Amino acid sequence: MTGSVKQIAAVARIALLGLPSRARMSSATVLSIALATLVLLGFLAMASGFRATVAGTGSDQSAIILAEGSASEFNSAIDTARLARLDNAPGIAAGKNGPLLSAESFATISAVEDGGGESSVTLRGMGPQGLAVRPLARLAGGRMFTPGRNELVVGSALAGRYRDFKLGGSVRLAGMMWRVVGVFEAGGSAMESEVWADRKLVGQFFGSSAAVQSVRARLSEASALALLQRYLAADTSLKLVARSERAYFAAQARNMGKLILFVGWPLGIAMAVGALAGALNTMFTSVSTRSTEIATLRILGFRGPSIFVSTMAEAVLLVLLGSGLGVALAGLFLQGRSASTIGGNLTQVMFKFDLAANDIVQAVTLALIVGVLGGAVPAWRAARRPLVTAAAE
Amino acid sequence: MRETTLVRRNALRNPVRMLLMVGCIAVAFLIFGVLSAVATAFRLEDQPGGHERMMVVNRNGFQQTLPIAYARDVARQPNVAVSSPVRMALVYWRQPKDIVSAVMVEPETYLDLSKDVVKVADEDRARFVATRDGLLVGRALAERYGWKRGDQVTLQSFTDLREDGSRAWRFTVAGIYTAAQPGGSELAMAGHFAYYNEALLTGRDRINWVLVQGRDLAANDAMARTIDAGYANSAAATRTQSEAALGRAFLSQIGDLMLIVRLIVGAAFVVILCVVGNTLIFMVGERTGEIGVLKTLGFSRLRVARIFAGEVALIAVAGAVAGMSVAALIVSALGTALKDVLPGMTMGASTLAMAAGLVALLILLTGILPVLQAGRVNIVEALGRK
Repeated sequence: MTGSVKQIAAVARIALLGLPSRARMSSATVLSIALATLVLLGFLAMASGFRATVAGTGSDQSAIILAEGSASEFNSAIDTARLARLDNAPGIAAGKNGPLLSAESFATISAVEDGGGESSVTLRGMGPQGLAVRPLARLAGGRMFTPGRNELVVGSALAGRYRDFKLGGSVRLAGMMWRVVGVFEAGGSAMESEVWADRKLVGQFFGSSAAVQSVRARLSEASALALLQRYLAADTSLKLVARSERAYFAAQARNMGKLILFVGWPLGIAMAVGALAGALNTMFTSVSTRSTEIATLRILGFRGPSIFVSTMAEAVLLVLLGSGLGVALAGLFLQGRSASTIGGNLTQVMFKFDLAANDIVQAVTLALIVGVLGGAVPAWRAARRPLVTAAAE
Repeated sequence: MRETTLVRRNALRNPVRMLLMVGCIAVAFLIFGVLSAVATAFRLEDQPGGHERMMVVNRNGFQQTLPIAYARDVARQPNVAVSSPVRMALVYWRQPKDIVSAVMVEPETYLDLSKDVVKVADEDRARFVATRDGLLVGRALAERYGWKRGDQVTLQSFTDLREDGSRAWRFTVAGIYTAAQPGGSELAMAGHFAYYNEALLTGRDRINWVLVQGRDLAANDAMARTIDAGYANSAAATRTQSEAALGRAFLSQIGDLMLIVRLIVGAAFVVILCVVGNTLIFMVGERTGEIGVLKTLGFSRLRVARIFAGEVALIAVAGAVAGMSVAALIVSALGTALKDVLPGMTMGASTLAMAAGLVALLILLTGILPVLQAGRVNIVEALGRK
């Protein structure tokens, strides 16, 4: 038994030491695997980054209240008459000036980026408690807007990327000048891609048809959500539904994350199939250039299995090199790169590519499958080839 | 022996290797074909008339509104032939998940402006124009919900409330339209702006955009500048662009789709260049002996090169044809599956032309080294080697 292990090790060593002489074909395989890995990792990292950003926007300590039947703020409308009845709802934390509630609506505004391009951004109108109802957000500079004044507080992702949103600057919106008086942070979440202002002004000057689209409430504790939900369900005339912020944003992130993966996986697999054709070719070539060597070994008494394993070892080594290169390239060029796309409100959401350990495992696994498939057939052939034909060449 | 016979026999000598090369090329063309079809489906500029029709939208995006008075002002511009105000309505049928894309319009001008995009029979048009609560419904949408002409349907709005506080809007299906182009969307509906507007509780007399057809297309840009300049300092500043440009600007916000597509197709082609190029060089090395024989028999350097170039071309064309054929199958399957989400996904002539260009480039890049190498083989060395 140890004899055959030794045999395998010896033949594998011969095969691997001979690699440099087949450098060109082998490097073609390494490169094709690396590119396939890179393409797949690009999509996986995009999906992970987007999900982390959007799902990270929600907290368990806070609830979002929408009109019944609306899956997002975008198509929710709450009339102001029903709003007052939330003041007595249970489960909501109390602040200095009454319950921590913020009635909100949003509009879309167009803003100029540092590079000069223009894109749509969410302008959120909120109540004076807007910051207090969001456990994840805090002011990073400046102050909160003063109700009734044309003042804006911008998310740090926007402040870093938009010429229009620098602290202390001002921007022309709806025919008036608005001053940027504060910048807020929210742990790198999608919230940082918003601009905040007084809700009454947003409703008045940006003409959204619904005065209030959602209500944000700070819960007295995470488990108080059930109390609030029961209260809303008991009064059928209210037609309002409460969800935890975390559940709301996790649902929002799911669709886009899924979409990215739906595109990424088929592409990654197609690239891997192309790389597989390349790997098979390389290994067939490798076996055919080594045919005399393999025949000699077999005449010397080395057995089929050791020949098989040595060829497999070569294939697996090549794909490991390739996927390693792909992961390294992804880490170098993709990790942390910021990107933006359209979020649930049809406005920009900034996020960063994020290579999760799980993504790397999946990409390397795909490469290994290519290696095993690409090595097995040529290895089988080399090990089974009749000695007479092999030695005659 | 004819050259073509040599090319064919040579190519089939090692069928496994040949198939692998063809397969590798096919995968790259498959990726190219499918991604290009998806990318074209996203580009609204291919909509008939998309470059000529202009849209006046709120500078802050088409989700924001404009006062209806803008539509009357725009109509008075000297270059405007036809103009029509449009309001989007966020509505659903029965369940909130059955969202329907609806616009509230001024029927006659709207249909005049949309005749490149939708086809409406004369009696349907007349009935829709004459029915105050009439709806013009896309054929596919009508089939999905089983609506027929004359049916009463009640749609629920997400955000627009009626004066009585309810969200239910009653309409009568007055006509059915079909897409003017194959693959065009038939899933939208249009109602009368006047009917919708008068019942609104809030947000009355607001529209999302004005559609404009210019008299002189060359004057469109100047007209757009004049319109936008007129509202620059008002509460609702405007942006006037062609439908195509507006669509492009919106898509660029989803992400730089074209860049991503180019990067991936580029990566796939780098892979085949490496794999196929190297295999070909290896193949020429393997056949050095017989190239020597050919040359001894009097084959000129050019003829030898031509025989190898022919083989490279055969492999590349076979791969491209296989790849594009599978891509065409996938595109037609995806097109059927996604016709509600992304209509108009087809493999166009421009994609095929680009594929042909890519084949030529591929033959040139992978073939040049091995062909030169084959042409340069020296008889004495070649025959002496074995």
